[in-house]
Amino acid sequence: MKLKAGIIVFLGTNCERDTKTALEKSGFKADYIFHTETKFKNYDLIVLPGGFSFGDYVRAGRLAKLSPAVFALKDYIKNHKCFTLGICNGFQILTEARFLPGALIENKNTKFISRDEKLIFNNEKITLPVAHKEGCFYADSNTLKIIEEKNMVFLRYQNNPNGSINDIAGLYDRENKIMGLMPHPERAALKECAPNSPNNALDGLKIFNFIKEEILK
Amino acid sequence: MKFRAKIIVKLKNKIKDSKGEAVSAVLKRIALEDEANVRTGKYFELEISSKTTDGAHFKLQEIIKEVLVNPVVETAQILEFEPVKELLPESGAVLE
Repeated sequence: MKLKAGIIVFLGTNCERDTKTALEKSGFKADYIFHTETKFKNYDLIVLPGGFSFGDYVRAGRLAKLSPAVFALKDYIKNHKCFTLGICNGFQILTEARFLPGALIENKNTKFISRDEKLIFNNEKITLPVAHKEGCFYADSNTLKIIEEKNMVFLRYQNNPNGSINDIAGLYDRENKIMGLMPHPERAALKECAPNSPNNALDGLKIFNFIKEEILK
Repeated sequence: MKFRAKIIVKLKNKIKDSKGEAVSAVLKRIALEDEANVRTGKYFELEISSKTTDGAHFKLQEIIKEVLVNPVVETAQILEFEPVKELLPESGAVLE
């Protein structure tokens, strides 16, 4: 039986379709959840996709964290033990809503960075596209200590593009199965999306396969 | 009663303000100020309905905490907090 994924769509989300396609290619059955919904079906994975939820007004992820679906997600995670994934804007929402520690602030160079970025994913070298302006991960020294002690950093930049502390590109709370990352694995899951970088074109699938393994554990 | 609040949200001082640094660099380049240490922020104006000043103030604190600020990286400063004048029963009414 296929694993089921629900993708929460906020006003201003724009990566939901790529995410759905990538999940389906990874063997999931995926559908959308509108941000006003509070009753979710039976999902193994809930995804908060990339985009500009609520226009990034106030701060990236701030208004989305106050959506009915995000409020409902808290109890859903507790009761259903599902896996939660936040990609880019989804990661920002997860930190704003305190599902994950730290915060994402403006890139060190103040620019919107949109390019392929070399990363280290669980000791393996991979390449994934990044596209963000507020992707600089920050946490105070105590929080950072806990993050490293709990082995939460599953993804680091090789050439830190945005000033993230400890080169952090993604966090994984292994206890509660909540994962957030700034790069876009769903944009590196189809050959058609990256015809010029054949070697790394499908590295995004490695992230989704890892998630699958974690769900099935 | 209706109250109007003006709030500034800034990054905490210990956190790097990239926008501010960019402005500082330009000020230095055009020889207006060598060490401007610019800090940027966001400005909000909003209205709050409440029967009492305390009630309105409590509401304002909640709004700041829940919506305007992420305490991990930001702080808020209330610049102004006063009743909207048109709605006062008499002109010149003083509020604590």
